[in-house]
Amino acid sequence: MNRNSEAQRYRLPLVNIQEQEDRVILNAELPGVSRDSLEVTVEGDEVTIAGTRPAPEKGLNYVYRENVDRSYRRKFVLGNTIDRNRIEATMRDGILTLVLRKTQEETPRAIEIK
Amino acid sequence: MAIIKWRPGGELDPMDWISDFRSGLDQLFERSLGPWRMVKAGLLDGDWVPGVDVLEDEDKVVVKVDVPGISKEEISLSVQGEVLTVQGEKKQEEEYSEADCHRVERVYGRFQRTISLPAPVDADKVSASCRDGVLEVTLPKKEEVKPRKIEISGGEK
Repeated sequence: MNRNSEAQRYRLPLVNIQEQEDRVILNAELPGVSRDSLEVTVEGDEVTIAGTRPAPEKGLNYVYRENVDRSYRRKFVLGNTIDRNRIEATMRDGILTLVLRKTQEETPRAIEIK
Repeated sequence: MAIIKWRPGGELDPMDWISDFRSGLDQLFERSLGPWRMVKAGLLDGDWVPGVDVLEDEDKVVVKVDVPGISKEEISLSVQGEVLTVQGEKKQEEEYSEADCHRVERVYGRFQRTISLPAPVDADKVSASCRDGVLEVTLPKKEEVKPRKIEISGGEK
């Protein structure tokens, strides 16, 4: 296979995005990606998640291969409501969880009626 | 040839052609190769199909199965002859209402995959580990299929 000579190809990780009152929670499936090889970057109004699965151990040859592209990458546009400085990321069993908190102004507040 | 006035929703509605074309395309994809075809054919049993890589060297076969978000307690493995079967269940981490979801791409539920191995393996020495959402099964090949080095006797000193 002559894949390496081609431009890098990426797989899109599958995500669930769920909104709660004060935060947005993004779950992404990145099987094979360790915490150290995962990158979460915020640039402008975009958050990018990227990671690469390790290459197989030396000496092992593929008999059957479904994971042809070993790198994952996906960008998401952050709305104005997301606080860019308070994004939390955790990785567990190949699932990345991003907790994106909303800015204080956007959190619904109960208004007292006089 | 008679000229027929075009009526939306009538026999000559171009939308019909489009939907025919679409169902034709769907059929084409259904018939094409891939795990989903096997699901349709009943060869795979479950709600989703994990990705699989099979590797080997002289001594062993290594099978890697993508099981993101699944703990090892939820997975069961069995080896019968030259066939490895992996099954388990991906459970939703937390309950949430559909109304709050912007995107739901992840699939949950049971999976089962049967993988035919490239060589006979020693079923008693199979080991498995789970790391970063990938199940790695190492199956040592049977002694009789491993290549053996044969000493050449005789010749000059």
